[in-house]
Order: sequence, then structure tokens, then C-alpha cells
Amino acid sequence: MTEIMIMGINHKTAPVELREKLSFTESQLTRSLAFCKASCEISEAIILTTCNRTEIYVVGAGEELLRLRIMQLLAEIKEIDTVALRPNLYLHTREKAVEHLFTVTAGLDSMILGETQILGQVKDAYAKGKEAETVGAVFHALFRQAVTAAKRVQTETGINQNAASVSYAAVELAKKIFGRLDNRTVLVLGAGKMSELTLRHLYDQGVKEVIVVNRTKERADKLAHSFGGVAEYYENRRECLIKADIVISSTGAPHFILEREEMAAVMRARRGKPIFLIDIAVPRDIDPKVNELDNVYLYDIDDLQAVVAANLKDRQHEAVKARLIVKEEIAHFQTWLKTQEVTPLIAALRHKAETIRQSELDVSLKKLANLSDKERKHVENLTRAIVNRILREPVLRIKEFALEDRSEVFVTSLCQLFDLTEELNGQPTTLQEEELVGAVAEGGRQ
Amino acid sequence: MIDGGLALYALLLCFFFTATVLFVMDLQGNGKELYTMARRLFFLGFLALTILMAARAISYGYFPIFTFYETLLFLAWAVTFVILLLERSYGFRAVFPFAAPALFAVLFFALFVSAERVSLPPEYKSVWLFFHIITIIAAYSTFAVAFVTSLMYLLVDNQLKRKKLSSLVSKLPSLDILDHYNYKLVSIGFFLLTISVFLGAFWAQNVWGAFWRWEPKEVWSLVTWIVYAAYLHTRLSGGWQGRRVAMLNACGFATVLFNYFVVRFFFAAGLHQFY
Repeated sequence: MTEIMIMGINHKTAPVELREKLSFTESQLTRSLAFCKASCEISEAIILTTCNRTEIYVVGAGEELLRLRIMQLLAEIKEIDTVALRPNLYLHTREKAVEHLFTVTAGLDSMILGETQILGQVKDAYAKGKEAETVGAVFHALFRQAVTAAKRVQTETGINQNAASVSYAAVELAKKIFGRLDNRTVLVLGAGKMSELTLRHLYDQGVKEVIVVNRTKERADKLAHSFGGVAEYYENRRECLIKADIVISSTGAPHFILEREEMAAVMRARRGKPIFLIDIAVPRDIDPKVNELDNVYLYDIDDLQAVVAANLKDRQHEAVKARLIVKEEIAHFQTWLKTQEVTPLIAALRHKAETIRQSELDVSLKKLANLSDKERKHVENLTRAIVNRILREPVLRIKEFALEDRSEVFVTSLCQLFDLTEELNGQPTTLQEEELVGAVAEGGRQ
Repeated sequence: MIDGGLALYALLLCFFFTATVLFVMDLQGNGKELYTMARRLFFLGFLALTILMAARAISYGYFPIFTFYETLLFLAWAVTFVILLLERSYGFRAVFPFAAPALFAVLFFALFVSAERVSLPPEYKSVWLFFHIITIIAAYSTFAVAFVTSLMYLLVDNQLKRKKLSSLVSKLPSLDILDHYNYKLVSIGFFLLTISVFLGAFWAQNVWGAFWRWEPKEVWSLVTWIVYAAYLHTRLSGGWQGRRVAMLNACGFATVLFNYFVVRFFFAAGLHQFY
């Protein structure tokens, strides 16, 4: 019996140093997939490698054999002491393995719950497997279904709706105030690391202009330059405040650099135009009283963190819905997988019938030598139609019974009734071939 | 209420009620189905209301905008029209969940208002008067929708200030967009209101020989006009922005409501006796 198995490590089971060691480079990935293709126990393989996880998915015969092969792969290609790795590795088989992939793809196993980057990474891993020809019918169906589930989770739940990091939260708030950001001006007060990150996110939204103000002009120049903006002297900050829509403040000043009175004057000069102040400095740069002014929206680092915390709580909430969707999609896959178990039987049955039909047809056609082409064709179609009609019901029943895990009865009794042992050994076992046989049979029905 | 119209009226109330429920549910959940369904029901409500008014117009032989009941229906129709137009033309759909319950309330309230037909004095059959009423109701309906956008603005502003954003607010448009529509709607409403006052004055001059008689209704219309003029002035001159402007707009609509619902009952006399 074929087995689906997954073995891997992730951010929950291994520290970053170890994850780094197990992460696959492009060439290692290619070699690993080639290794899987070459080993006779493994019929299908896909390797998912991201900064938070490395997971090897395989289909093959026998859990223990598969496990040993994967260990061997890790030892050979990653040159890792696999024994020491044991406590960090997790291994799932069958339903558990399927569930694991679905959960991972939907972002439910990610460090940031519900993130969507993983979906792209899973798709990549699948594409790589396909390229290396280690993807067969099972993984084709499994990964496709997992991707479907993840997409449904994204559209039907709000799991990825709210920002999960401080800088994204700032961008989201800016959008809530200004709508589109492409005609907005961002002012950066203090060219620190954190302000650069937030600026980067805002910049990606296409803000119109970036102004950087710093005590030392060189650093201001440098940061401004990398965002196509302008640097201004610290003394001119008031004019900049009048001009800007979004302000990121993170100076190292030990006291407030912007007080309520000054901001009130700025607001008058702005004619009340709304402004979003992001104060990520510790100690704070902007007097919290500034928030009392109309059309001024001041968020300090704690406020932003509180927004993120609330968002993450919402994500937990949405994850419940997401898990239900994942469950539904897993059920779809399991249905497919179970019918898959009887595919060889159905294929054998069809093959047998087809052989009989062909040989009987040959005998008859020889006797009916003076048939016209049209009549010949008619007789041929007739035989196909009869075979198809006879097989239709049993095939349906076999599939139904497979869903109820009662296919065993059929396999043995049908084998004996139709003497299928020969067909079952060394006959098509994958979906594609079953479909092919089916298509031939369908074609004859016209 | 006209016979047979009752069933239609019940049906249209059902449409608006169900649409309201679905719109509110849509605010809580995800997915498009609820919204699409609610939007469809809302449109059906609009159609039912149109048919109801058309039936009344045909059976009574005049355009039904003369009694309080008739203006209520027409007002609801106009608001619905404005909202659907905003959604169709600009994709601005955020007002639905707020306007739908208000429309339902107005239409439900109209059930308790006398739907009797009135026999109009001949001077009321005037083109001046007809357009006076049409424009004033159009103005009121744009003010009503503008008011909704202002309320939404104040809600979003408040939560941004308090730094606690509910899931409801996360579904609402940005302040910038709300402000934009608010301004557009008030501008149109103000234009219509101004025209309406002039049309009314000319009609009064024709019939009674006086442009302006300081009736309560006229005085309150003037108050409304002044508040909205102040709104536009302060916006254009750049004195006030954002929150205060939204509050001023809310005040403007309060005078409209007062004029429309309260003045009639306490000072009902004179030229505006029917309104």
C-alpha cells in the first residue's frame, strides 16, 4: 500500500541556526529531487524549503523504508548528523500528513498566523517537483487541493485582513486616513533603522514625495537618496511639517521635539488638513497631547503595538473559520484518494472487457467481410456501447464502496469473478492512465 | 393608502428590512454573497417604491408630492436613487448598511401618516410649485446621504483618535473618501436648495404677490441654507477641515429634519400647509 509521508522541521521545533543548516539551496534541491526520483521506494517527492521550515513530502511504499531514505538523503546532501536531528524532526503519515500540508499552505502553521507568503512557496515547491518529474497523480491532486483550500481561506475569512507587524499597521492606518497614498508626502524625522523600515512599506504604496530631516545632514542625504527624496535641515522641520501628510518620527532626542502649541500652529498653517504622526522613538518625540488637536492622528510605538495585538487576536478568531474550510477541503482530497485505491481494479476490469471486445469483434468482422465502412463502424460502436453500459454500474458501485472503505470485498471478488489477477499485476495504476482507458471507452459511445 | 397598494407596501417594507439585515451581516462577515443579495433586495425595494408611487400618480391624476405622506415616499425614493447612483457610477457602496435601516424606518413611519388624497386649490397646479417641491426633495435627499457620510466620518475619526479600531471601522472607507463624497453631495444639495427657494419665492409672488413672508417654514429653510453656506464657505476658505466640517454638516441636516418633521406640526399654516 502506498503511503503519504512528510518529515521536516519548522520554527516551532528548531532554532534558527538549525533551520539554516537544513535549508536547501537551489542545487541541493535539484540533487535531492533527483535522489528521490532514483530511489525505488519513493514514487513522488516534493521539498518545501523556506526560512521557517524545511519539509520533505514523499509518496511511497512503507513508512519505515521511506523514513530511512529521507534520513539518507539528509545525510548525503546536507551532510548532517541525522541522529542529533531526531528531537527536532517531526514526521506525519497518511491523514496526518495530508492535514499538515493543508494547514501549512493555508498559513495556519506559520509564525505569523494566516500569512500568505507560504502559499506562493508551496506552489514553487510543487513546480520544482514537477520540473524534476517527481510529482505524480497523488501529489498533483494533493497540492492542488491544498492550494484551493488556502485560497478559500484567504477569500472567505478575514485572517489576512489586518496588519501583523508595527510597520504594516502604520501603513494600514495611513490608508484609513488618506485612502490612496500615491499623492501623499512622507516626512521622516530622524534617519534611524526603524523609520527606514516603516518608510519602506509606505514607499511601496507609491507615496509621492519623501522628505528626510536629520540632525546630521549626511545621514539624511543618504536615506533620502535611496528613496528618491530630498533631505532638509533640522531647522526647516516646521515647513516640512506643514507640507507633509505622514510623519515618521524616530530621533534620539531625550525630550519631546514637537509640543502641542507648535503643532497647533502647524495645523493652522496647514488649514486643518489631516496629518498622521507616527512616533516610533523611545523616549517619545511627540507630546501625546498633540493627539487632542483636530485632524491630527498621533500613534506612538505602544499604540501601534496595541493595534497589532488586537489584529493578531482577530486572526486567532478567523483561524477557527479557516480550520473548518481546511477540513472540508481535506475531505475532498480523501474522497479522491479513496477512489484512487480502486483505480487499478477499475482499469483492470475495463482492460479485460476491452480485450474481450476486441478479440470477439475481430472474429465477427472477419466473418462479415462484405460490410460497408459505415456498417463496420456501426458494429464497432455497438460493441463499445454494450461494454460501457455493462461496466457503468459496477464501476460506480466500486467507487461508492471505496468511499465507505469496503473496497476490499470488491477487489477480491471481482478478481476471482473476472479472473483479473493478470491484469492487476503490471497494469496501469495511476489516474491519468485510468482516465485514458475511460476516454477510449467514452469515445466509442458516440 | 390606496387599495391593493397595501400588499405592495408590505412587500417593499420586507425588501428594505431584509436588505438592512443582510447589509449589517455583511459588515460582520466576509465574502461577496451577502452583499450581492442585499444589494439586489435593495434594488427590488426601489422598484416596488417606484411602482407604488406611479400607481398613485395614475389613479389620482397628479404627481404625488403634495401631502406629507407623498413627500415621505418621494423622499425615500430619492434617497434610494441617490445611493444607487453613487454605487453604480462611483462604486461607493459604504452607505448601504447605514442608509437602509433609515429608509426602512421612514417607510415604516409613513404607514402611520394619513395617506388621504387632498383636493388641491387651483393655484397649486403650477409648474413653479411642482419644481419647487421636486428640487427641495432632491436637495433633502442629497443632504441625507451627505449626513450619513458625515456620521461615518465621525465614527472613523473617533476610533482613529481613540486608537481602538473595531472591525466595523476596518470595513468603512478612508476619511479622505468619506470627506470627498460629503463635499460633493453637500455642494449639489446646496445648489438644489438655492434653486428651490427661488422657485418657491417666484410661485409665491405669482399667487400671493409676495416673494417672502417670513413663514416658519421659510425661516427654517433660511437657517438650513445659512448652515450649509457656512459649511461650503469654511471648506473653501480652508478655515475648518475634517471633523468640525463633518459636525457642521450634521447640524445642517438637523435643521432639515427639524424643518421637515417638526415645523409642520407646530406651525402648520399658510402656504406650506400641506408640507
